[in-house]
Amino acid sequence: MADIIKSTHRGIKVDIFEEDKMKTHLKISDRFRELLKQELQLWQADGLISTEQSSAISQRYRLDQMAKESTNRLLFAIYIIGATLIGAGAISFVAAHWEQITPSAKIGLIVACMLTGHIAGFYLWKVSAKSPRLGHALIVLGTLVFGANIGLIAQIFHIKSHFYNGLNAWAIGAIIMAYAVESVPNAFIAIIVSFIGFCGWTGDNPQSFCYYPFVAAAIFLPFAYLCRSVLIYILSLVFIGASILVSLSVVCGNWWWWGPSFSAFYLAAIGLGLFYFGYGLLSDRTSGFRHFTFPAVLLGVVFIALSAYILSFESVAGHLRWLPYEDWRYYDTANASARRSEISVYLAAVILWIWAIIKGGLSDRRFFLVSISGLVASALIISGIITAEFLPRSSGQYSDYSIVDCFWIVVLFNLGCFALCAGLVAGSFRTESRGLFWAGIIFTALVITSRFLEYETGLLIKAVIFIACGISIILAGVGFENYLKRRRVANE
Amino acid sequence: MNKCLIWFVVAVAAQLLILAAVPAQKIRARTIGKTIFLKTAPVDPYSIMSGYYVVLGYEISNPTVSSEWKKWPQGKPVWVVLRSDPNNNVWYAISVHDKRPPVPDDCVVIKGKVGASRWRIEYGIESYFIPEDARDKVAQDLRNNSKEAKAEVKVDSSGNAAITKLIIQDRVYEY
Repeated sequence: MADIIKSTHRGIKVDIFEEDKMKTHLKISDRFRELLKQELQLWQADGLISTEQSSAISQRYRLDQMAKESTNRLLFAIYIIGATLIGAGAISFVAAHWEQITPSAKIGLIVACMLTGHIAGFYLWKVSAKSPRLGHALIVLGTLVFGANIGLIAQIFHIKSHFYNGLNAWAIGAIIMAYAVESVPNAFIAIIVSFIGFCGWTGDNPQSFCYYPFVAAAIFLPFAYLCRSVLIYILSLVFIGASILVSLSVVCGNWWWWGPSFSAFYLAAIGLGLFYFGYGLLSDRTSGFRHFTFPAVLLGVVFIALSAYILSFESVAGHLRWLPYEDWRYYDTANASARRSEISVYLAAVILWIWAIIKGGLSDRRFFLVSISGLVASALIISGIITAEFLPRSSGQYSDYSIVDCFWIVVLFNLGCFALCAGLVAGSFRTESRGLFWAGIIFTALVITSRFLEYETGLLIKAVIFIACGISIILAGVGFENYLKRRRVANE
Repeated sequence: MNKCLIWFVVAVAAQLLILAAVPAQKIRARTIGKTIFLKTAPVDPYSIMSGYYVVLGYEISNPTVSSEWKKWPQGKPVWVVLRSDPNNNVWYAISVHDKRPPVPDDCVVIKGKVGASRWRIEYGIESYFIPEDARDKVAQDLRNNSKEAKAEVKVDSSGNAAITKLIIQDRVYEY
């Protein structure tokens, strides 16, 4: 990066870099700058600030660059859409298997198309710097055409392979290019394509080791850090988690609501929630990467909340109490491999939490209550799942389990939901965050409403509960806003 | 700048290398391989075309000279020794092995693996891509004259095979 900034064409590169730096450091939105620009004129007209002060503020927030920035962003979006369409055209062209040209000419043509995209893109972006965004889009086009080329060459040589081999080859080429020119769209292609490739691969090799989460963590996360890309960071975390859950489901020859993978699936989902949580707390204590905190903590809360919510239904929790069919294929192997995945996830989560706590992650009042509630909710759900594992199981017939059979387990899962709700609401008071408050209140209302819809309760009671829920939400909202107002007055 | 250029060149070279690696084995077989002709046997006469390619089976896909290979696990490598029939210049299987056997001069060894269904040996020559506008014609020809169809295949010294032509009676389809 430093190299690029120092070179001759660096004017524009510096602009882009400065723009990113300003936004990261000052954490200001474009909306704020827009309003500020309007207000500055009024302040100056009213004599509140001098012309010098106005231009100093304007310079600090680069208000004169706003029009150019938004044009640039729009142009980049248009270029990327154009490149994607041209790439899609190239792929269709390959699929059409155009007969009029010979195979060697076809290879020459499409390889030339790829090289033209790359070289012209590199020239425009990094060498002449005349049109960096168009250049970037051309490199993305080159990578899309590269993917099409893999298909074309397989077709010319009559190679019929599994589709995921082609996708994985494409992902490797794309991520190498992403690192070489620090291009987020190239990394985006790599991560999406590799995940689809992974799903195909694991479907065909259910008993093989699930390599993907490690590869994604080792390749995509460092890229997210290198380019400070929140998009790639979130996608990496989501796909690391999703790949573990997908392989857990596939390895057992079942999908997530059924059979021996059921408890493994939810144990892993909770473990992943804790992992994200720990990761977020750790990012918060790592200078320069604070903007990675919120997405990770949010993912953690979502994973734990979703697991708790789905399991809180009696009919779902009841599945934990089923015996698998006796002829279940790979049952023992599947269980052993599911356990291995879970243990690795929990181990990673524990390491991250300890690391974050050592670095003072919990001493920050913003995350303390939410983190504790996440831990308590996870502990309640895990103990529910373990209790279900240890209690004698019913015979596998749907009619054989009843509410008595899993009553306490369902209670534990519901307590898990409420622990999380309580943490979110309490955390919102401490941090004066409306987002947290409404997340907690809406989740509480959702859980209560679900319970009343789930169990057959008389219409009258349902009506009373719904009205009570509605009134409580309104009162809670008003109360919270009053609280915020009092705090604001006290602060002033 | 220079550093960035070097990385860019490395990335483009890596993409070109990947593109070259995909057909490397097939190119080797096509360039230095020995030409043989194999009689095709329909896999599924009702579904000859599968999207963009014809699905080809061969007489050697299910060699009757041995049934030992049917007990081998899916994906296990198999070497099949072929000899030419002087009457029609079609090559047929004379033995099936789980290790590469020594081959007499008048024979060729082709490498395959036990297929997913374990009823067939797959040699990587089971698909032949056909251009869009020729698809119906080739599928129809193959359906009507399935007994007289053969494929020209090149086999290199390691046993890797590449399909080059599809021949039905005296009509040659080369794509």
